[in-house]
Amino acid sequence: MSVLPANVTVGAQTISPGGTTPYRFIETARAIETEVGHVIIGQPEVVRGVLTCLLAGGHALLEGIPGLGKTLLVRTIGEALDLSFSRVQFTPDLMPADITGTSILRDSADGSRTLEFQPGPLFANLVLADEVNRATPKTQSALLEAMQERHVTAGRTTHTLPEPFFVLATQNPIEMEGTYPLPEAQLDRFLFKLTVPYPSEEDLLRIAQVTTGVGMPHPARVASGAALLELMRFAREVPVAEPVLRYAVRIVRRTNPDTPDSPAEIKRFARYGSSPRGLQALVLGAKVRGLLEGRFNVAFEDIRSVALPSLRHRIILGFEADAEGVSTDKLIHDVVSTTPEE
Amino acid sequence: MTMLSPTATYHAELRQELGSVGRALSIQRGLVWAARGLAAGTVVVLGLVIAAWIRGTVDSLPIVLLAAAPMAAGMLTGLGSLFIHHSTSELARRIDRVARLSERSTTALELGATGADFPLALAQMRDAVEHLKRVDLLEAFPLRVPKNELMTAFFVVVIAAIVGLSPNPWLLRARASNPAITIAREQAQRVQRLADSIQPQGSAEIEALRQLVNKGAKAIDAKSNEPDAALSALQDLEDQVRQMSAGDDQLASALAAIASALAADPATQNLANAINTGDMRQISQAAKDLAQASAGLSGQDQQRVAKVLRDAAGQAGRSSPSVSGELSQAADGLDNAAASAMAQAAAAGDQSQADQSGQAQQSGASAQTGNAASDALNQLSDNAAAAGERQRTASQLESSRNALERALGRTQSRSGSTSPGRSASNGQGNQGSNGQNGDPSQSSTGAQGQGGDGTDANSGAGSPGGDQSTGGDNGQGGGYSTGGDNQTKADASGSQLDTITTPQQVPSNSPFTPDQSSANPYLGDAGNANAQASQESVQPSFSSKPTSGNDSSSIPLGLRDLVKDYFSSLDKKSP
Repeated sequence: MSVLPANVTVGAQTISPGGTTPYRFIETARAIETEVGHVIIGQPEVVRGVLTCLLAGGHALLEGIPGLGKTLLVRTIGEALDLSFSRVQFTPDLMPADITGTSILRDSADGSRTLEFQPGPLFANLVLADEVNRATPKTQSALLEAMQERHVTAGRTTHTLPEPFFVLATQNPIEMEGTYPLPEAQLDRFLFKLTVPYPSEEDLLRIAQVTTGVGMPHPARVASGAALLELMRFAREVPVAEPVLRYAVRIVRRTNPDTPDSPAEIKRFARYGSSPRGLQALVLGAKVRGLLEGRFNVAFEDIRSVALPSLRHRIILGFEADAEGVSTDKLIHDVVSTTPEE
Repeated sequence: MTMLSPTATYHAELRQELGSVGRALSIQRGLVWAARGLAAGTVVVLGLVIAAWIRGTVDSLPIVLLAAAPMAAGMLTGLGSLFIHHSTSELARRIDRVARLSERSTTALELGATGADFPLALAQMRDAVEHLKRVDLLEAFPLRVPKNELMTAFFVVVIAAIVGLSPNPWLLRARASNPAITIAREQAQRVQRLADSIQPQGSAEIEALRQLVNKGAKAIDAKSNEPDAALSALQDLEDQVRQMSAGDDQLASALAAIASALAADPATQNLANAINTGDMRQISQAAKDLAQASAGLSGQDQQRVAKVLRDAAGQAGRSSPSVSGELSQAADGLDNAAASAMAQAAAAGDQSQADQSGQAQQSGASAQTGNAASDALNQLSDNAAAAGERQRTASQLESSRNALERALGRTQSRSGSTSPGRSASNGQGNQGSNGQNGDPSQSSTGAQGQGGDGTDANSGAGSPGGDQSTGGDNGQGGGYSTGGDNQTKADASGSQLDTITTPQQVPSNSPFTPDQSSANPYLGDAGNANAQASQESVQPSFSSKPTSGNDSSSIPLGLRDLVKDYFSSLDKKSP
């Protein structure tokens, strides 16, 4: 448990924590975690991952079998953050306009007709793209363009999406029939890829107790969209020491099989390593994690903690890895464990 | 008053805290390195002990030095490590890692260096400083006893002790199979005792000799496990002693030359007798006695002694200018003293009212000239004493070398060449070849030992060289001989102690100067080998030589009885 410093007083200057974001950031983040934790049982790492992703200003891809509470998690976060929330169930017949919106012909009172843009579900602060891999690539592209550019174009008009804008997509790894796996370039747009684990026996017991009763718990709203934006800007100010930054760079470089000092497993099983966007995700995620841990700096441990969600969807495995059942998680673990801090 | 910015203030505080970290780290590291130095020192000591154990010289290892060396090494490395400089960034990373500060210090140090002053930076630096202040440096860098290093040192010391105390089986086996090793060690100890027995008595020459022998003894001891090398070291030492004795031959020749001249006066008779013994110690003592006695002589006696010394100086001039000079100085001093005394007496008779101050001046001048004579004679005494020590040393070294050579099964071929006049032939003897009665140049006392049947007739007027006998141990097959045989000389520059018997040095009343040719009066009846003169008539002090030789330390203790028996047998043979 970290010890937060009291009021910073230097000479005649006093820096009050109450008016500054370092303390509010931590208080808000912890409040969100607490509120979400009341609803989502037994998934603290996933909750922390999603929260980290949101505070870092990125989008998250949640992967897990159906029924693990992915949708509930996203909805609960939306409620706790007092954000506009929309959910899109991706199906093969879902069209881009179904998510971005479309212009419709509207009759006015004077009898004239005008085209009016009707925003789609993407026009929300928090968008849940459920089973994103079931939609066609065309629709996926529309979503991913919105994720990257944070605006949509309908006809000749470009519509800016609201701030903050988060996409939390889910996909089912086992039902591959009739799905359109996201291409690597589009996967790269997600800051984190979080895997939702199966709950433990105790967690299942609690889930059964809490969700089969009369009343369902609801999270309290602990922050607004504006506050979240402030926290996002603040998270980017967290200083990173050069040795830590170099450590992150080394990890990312060593995921590439062409790097001379990359582990043998990477050279053998990986076709491509992480892109520089992976490094950005690594550092941003580490900054948020550092703050969530009560620090105002990034530690080596922060880098290690966010290495898996930041990089696991950015490493492209070769055929040999598929044949031998080697996952990207194992390769990242090898890279992290063999990369020296100094 | 200058107000520092918050960033600078935090940066200064941070550096201050890191300074404390650096000191704690240095102390911890110093302790570790001291233990490592100690361990390294013990390893070195173990190496020395093993080397000595292999060579069988463990006893000669300096225990105090062996104990002090590891400690000194530990202290040096420990103190040296305190001067290792730690950069602040290194200290920050170190304390971050050790105290689990999650890179707070490292980040704060960078922020302070860049002068970052945004709120989060200030909060971070404040956070880092607060955390650093809470760190217990003794807990972060505990002064743990470096057990591994100390245990290593302990075990190494134990091993060294075991090795040092246990006998070397290979060495024991080697010694058992090669007795020469034991003999080499014994001779090394003997040479060491010889070095210890040398008393400088204020003489620089004798002190130099003592140091040389002492150093040589250690060299021989160090090589005692290799008898050949030990013999070589012994021979080297012998050579060096011989080099120091280069001038002794001239001294001996000069003394021999002046013996007859000195015998002419009762006051110098003792010195002459001492010279006739050939014992430099006796000569030294006699010269010293003469120096003391000269001051108490009357004026006439002083003049007489001065004349004798001047004659002796003339005799010694050819052999040794230095001896001649010393005698001349002594004669001059005595002359001056006699002149002063006589002038004083005359003045006392003629002018009874002479003032006391004038007498005092004359008395002082007399004493001064008397001192000059004493000084010259004392110088002669010192030279003789140094020569005597060198003779004794050379004799002992030769004896040791002979013993070692016998142990190695070698013939003592160096005897004749290394010590002319004291040949130590190995069982060869002179076999009567030197029996040229009446030839003073062939003074020899034969040999004993295997095949050594020499009972050479002693002839000539020279004093026998038997008083400087050296040689091997009786009964070990090594013969010995005393007395010189110039015919056996291989080294022309060798000692001429026995040249006391050479014709040109024989005291003679011949009117001819040495540079003039003349018939040798001693060769008249020498060729028929029928000389019937008794030993005593040739050398009156002959029978006393064995006794006096035995009394001196020049004859090894174990051989004295043998020498005495030999000369006793000569007494029985003599008519």
